Amino acid sequence: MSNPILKVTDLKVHFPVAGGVFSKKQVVKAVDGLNFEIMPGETFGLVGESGCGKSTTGRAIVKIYNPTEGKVEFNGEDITKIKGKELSQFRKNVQMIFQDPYASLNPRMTVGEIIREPMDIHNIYSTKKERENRVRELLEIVGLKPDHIRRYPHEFSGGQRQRIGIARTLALNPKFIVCDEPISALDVSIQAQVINLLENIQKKMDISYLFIAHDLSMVKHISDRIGVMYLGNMVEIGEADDVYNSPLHPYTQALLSAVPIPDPKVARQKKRIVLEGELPSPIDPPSGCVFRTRCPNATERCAKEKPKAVKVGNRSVACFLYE
Amino acid sequence: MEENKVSDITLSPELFEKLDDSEKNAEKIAYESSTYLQDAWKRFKQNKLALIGLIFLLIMLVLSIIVPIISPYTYDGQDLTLQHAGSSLQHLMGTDKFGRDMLVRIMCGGRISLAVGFAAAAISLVVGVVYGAISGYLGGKVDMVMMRIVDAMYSIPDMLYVIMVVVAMGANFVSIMIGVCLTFWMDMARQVRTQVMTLKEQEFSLAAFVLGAGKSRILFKHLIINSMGPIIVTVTMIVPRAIFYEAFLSFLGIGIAAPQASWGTLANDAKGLVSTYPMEVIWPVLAICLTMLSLNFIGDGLGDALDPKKK
Amino acid sequence: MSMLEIKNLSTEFTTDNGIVRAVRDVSLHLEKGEVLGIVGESGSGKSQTMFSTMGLLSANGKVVNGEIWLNGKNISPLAFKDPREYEKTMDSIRGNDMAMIFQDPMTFLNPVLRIETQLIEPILNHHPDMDKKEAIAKAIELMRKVGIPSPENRIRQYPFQFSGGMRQRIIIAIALACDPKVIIADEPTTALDVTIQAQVLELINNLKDEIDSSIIMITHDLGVVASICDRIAIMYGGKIVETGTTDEIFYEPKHPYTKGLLSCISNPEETERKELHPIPGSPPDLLNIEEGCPFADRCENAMKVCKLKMPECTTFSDTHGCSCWLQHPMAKGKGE
Repeated sequence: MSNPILKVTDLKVHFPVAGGVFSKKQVVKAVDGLNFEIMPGETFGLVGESGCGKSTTGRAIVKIYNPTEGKVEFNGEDITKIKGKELSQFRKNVQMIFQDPYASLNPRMTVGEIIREPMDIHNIYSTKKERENRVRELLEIVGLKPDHIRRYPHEFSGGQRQRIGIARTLALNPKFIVCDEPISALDVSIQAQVINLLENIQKKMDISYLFIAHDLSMVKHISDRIGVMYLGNMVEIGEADDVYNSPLHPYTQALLSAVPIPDPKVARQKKRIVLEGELPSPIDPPSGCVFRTRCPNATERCAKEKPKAVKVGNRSVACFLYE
Repeated sequence: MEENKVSDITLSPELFEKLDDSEKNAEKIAYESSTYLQDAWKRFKQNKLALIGLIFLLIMLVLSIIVPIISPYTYDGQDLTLQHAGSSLQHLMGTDKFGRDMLVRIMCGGRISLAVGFAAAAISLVVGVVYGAISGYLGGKVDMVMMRIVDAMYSIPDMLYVIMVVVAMGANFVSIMIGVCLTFWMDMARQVRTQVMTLKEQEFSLAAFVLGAGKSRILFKHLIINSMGPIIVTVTMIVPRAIFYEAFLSFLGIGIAAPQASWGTLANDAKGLVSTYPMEVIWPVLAICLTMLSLNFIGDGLGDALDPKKK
Repeated sequence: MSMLEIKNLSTEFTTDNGIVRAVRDVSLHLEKGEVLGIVGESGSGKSQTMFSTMGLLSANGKVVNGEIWLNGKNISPLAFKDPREYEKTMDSIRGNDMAMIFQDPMTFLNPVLRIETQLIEPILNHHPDMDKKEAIAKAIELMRKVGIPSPENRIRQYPFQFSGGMRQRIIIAIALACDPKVIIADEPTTALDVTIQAQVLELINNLKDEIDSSIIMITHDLGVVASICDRIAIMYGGKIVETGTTDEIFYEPKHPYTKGLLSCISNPEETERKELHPIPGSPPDLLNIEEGCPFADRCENAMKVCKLKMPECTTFSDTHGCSCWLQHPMAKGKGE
């Protein structure tokens, strides 16, 4: 078996909360001890509800946030402290696609300037002409017309803008792309276009994805493996089909039962597991297992100890039920 | 476009032939291509008051440059035989107590007043943008220290600065400008800082960061360019305030020294004559009021035109 | 008689760049006790159709044609000579006969007023004979009905003390406060997380049997309409392209756009991984839109006629209709 392209070990990202002068300093535990690996050419789906820390994880991997603790290894090298040349090399290899196609493109730059920017930064081609040719080529790869090069982002629709964003990402020929909810702001008929585009690019250029999303049906479609997060913790990791067909962790079960099914006959019969209560605050998460306050199977032990990830077949699940 | 208006068409089999892919236009862009400035100008033009303001200001600028050059009179040329003359064909706005031509004096005053206004705005622009952008972008402790300095300076009344500087350096064009700038750059800095702080969290600046862009690239190509709207609006608001400060100082008698004159000094010179020769006060005051009014209208219009949210 | 019937409604917006024809010749009807889903993508005109109905269009928008019959009364702005009279009528209709649930509860709730104040206001408006105490009792009952735990205490709280899902429940409670005949829900669950969305949908599903309001559900999510709607109207480019019962739409779609939508969503229940078939291109911009079928540019089976004229509606059953030239006798055999 080959080595993972990305390995995250005990990743913790905590943010200080600006408290008053007299109050105690508090931290938001956005990500609290995460472990997972992504293989070359693989798509790893990261799902969870808002506030579970999935986007923070993605941003920590591309170094927008610095981890409080833990390691992020890319191709075997810890990237949490790299600088200078190594950092610049890392930037070329690891890129990110953003959620909001309306906010992720600078409104004052033309499409050509936007896609050319990464090449300008890393001095990839020596002449302007070469860069411009590459921009046209990239526009065609993502299905836009090369003569759109002088237009401004606001003239495009959401799906077109997202494709411009993808073209910019591809300009550096990255090996690994963090997709931070790339389709959640798009229309249904456009989502499939972007998903197919990402899949085609992956096949052609052999890229690995970390695909962050809250839309579980699309994640299932694109991902090889899936990790489910809850309140800064990974509760379950497994093959996409396994996780969907027989979820193990009580949270995964509840989450999947809540997915709306676009099939009226199935939807009418479907039994939903409705979770009690609300998401606890990440400033003061529950002791032991973070899910215990809403878990139908919680026991006294769940409040005392934090469950470690255990292997069940080729899956890993953090719950005492499977020890 | 004509054929799109067809509403009654006869259906024939050839109409039911499959459309070729080349006849479809699935990635059509309905908008005309336009840059940000073109868009802004389009919106600005719709604001009639702002447009009138702009035209008036341009006329004022041109007149204050040209009139003293082509006029047969100079601003300090006295004609003691013609004191306090009313409007006539020779002297359109009359003369003052030394028989100097009021029109030329007002236009020369306009040169000084407008120059003070625009120069103050330009200096505040540069200093304020750099200071504010650095403070907002770096954030954290740097931001705290830089902003506390501004807060401290803010707590001293504006006029006090200006008067102190003018008294220390002597009353001339440069000292007034420095005094005025000392207070106005802070408004600009605060404005830019807030802008930069919101913009740096936006996904496009994060994207630039992830692409490996350096600090100065992000700051200039992404953050400051996108703050241009509010920056320009702040500048247009600084100009009239600077003109007003200068006029105020000159009116108090600590402004531009004689025989040079700004609108403020002209009004000051004539203030004792308000009951006997009211026109000598009214002309400079009118010049100040109308210029300030048009600058404020322009500022308002720009605010609407440059604010993308109102689109 | 239908509860609400919209006939040939057209709405236009004047913008700097030209006229946006957001709603074009839309006809709809809503029966008593029914849940109608209006499905469409952003810019399809689904929300603007309802804003036109509720009299909530922004200042540059205008109804240019059509009738809107609510319970036997035409409430289209075109039916009123005096705009002030229209406003007055709509003010009394909104909150009494029709209520609206928005996507973002915070745009609707006043952040500085207690929930109590915001809930009893519509109750008192609707029941002028009630005193404040009775109104509070009814408000608490409503909060219990929409599943807010310990409503006696929570009614004294402010909106920010509630989570997104709870706020949406409060909005639903406010909408129910005056027993409206028609409830219009504009993407009520889009801003919510999946598990919370499931809770709110469950609530709407339970409520629809308890109350006798008719509900219009505006959404882009086919998964949402599948579970709670009786009938569905599919909108595209400001027009309704297909309408039918939920089963008809999902199992016998006729319009290429409906078919396209169904084949580009992934159904997690299916074990086989099917390939997604996206609809090529982008939705049309309604700015200065041309005649003809708005979908023609993206349709695999588009014919010459599609670019020239909008097709008539072909009916397949009492409930199922579709506007597509492929259904025309002259197009036999095409597009299969």
